[in-house]
Amino acid sequence: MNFSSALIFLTFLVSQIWALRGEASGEAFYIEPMVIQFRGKEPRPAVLKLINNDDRGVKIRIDIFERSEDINGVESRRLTKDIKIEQNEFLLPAGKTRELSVRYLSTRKLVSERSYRIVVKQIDAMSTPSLDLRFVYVASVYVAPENAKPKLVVESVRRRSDFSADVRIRNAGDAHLDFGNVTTILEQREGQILREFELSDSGRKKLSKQIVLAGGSRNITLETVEGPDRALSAAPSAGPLTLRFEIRNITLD
Amino acid sequence: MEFIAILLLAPFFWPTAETTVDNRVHSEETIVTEARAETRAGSRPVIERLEGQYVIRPPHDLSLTMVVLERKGESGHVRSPASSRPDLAMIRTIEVIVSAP
Repeated sequence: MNFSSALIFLTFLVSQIWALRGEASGEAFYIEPMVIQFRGKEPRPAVLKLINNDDRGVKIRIDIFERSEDINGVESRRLTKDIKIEQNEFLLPAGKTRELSVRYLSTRKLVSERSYRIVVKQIDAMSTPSLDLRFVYVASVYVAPENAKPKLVVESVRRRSDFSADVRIRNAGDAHLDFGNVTTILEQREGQILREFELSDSGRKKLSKQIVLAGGSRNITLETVEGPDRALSAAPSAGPLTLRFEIRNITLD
Repeated sequence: MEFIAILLLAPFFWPTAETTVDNRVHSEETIVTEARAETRAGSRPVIERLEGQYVIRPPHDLSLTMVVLERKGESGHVRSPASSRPDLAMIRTIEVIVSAP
């Protein structure tokens, strides 16, 4: 394939995907909401909307999993019956919206938040002459006791390089922690002098996309802004690095 | 002609600093977190994750980067690295996975 052909095909590919962009183009299949929160005993059912604005029907399969994460944030899932959804496999006709009832059925005592995934999978492809696209939506369901909240515990902070530090944190609370709601401050105290290290834009963005499930621990690398006088080791008798969090809209103990 | 088409479409797909594929996503922006592809011949390509992006390497010289997307996750877009000569016709299926935090 020569370069011109590659460009033509790329243009076609991109235009196909653009045509499937959902609300932006008024087409494609999507779901909402992507996050469902149940609170307290016997929570009321939630509604999951599946919207197909395409001009073709879409075959859909829905599976529900209990979710866990390891210390590096790698997710594991196993099928569960704790959450029930009205229908698991069906055809969503062209231009139709379907509302499905989502219920939490478990009778296990809820001492801490439980986390689940609803995986909505398109099982046929949105075929084009050259390319098939299939969308899979992985929504989150959190089931938490009333008044559940996260509680951050810093277990260790260690300088990794002059402009990064490895930290280990634990969420000792009973609700998941979303770092999108957290301001993280890395600092170093020497006597009366307190130095704060500014996180780099990319580091801050990366961090803001992390969550820690209730009771979970996480290893995170913090990247700071680089500069000759900003190195984590710049102070001649640098004291230990410490980490402070400010959680917005949530009260920390 | 094709160059004109590319130029017209490019502004919509220009990758920004936000277009990073990552396992963790912010609660208010759901982004594409994985991409899979298979070749027309049915053999699965090798998929590598490089600096937050997925590079798909089928049995021959195809190199394709799947890049993120924005907007509460309803879509994704695909671009090829400028340095590669992608044989995109070899791709039959793309599965775009949109994941919430």
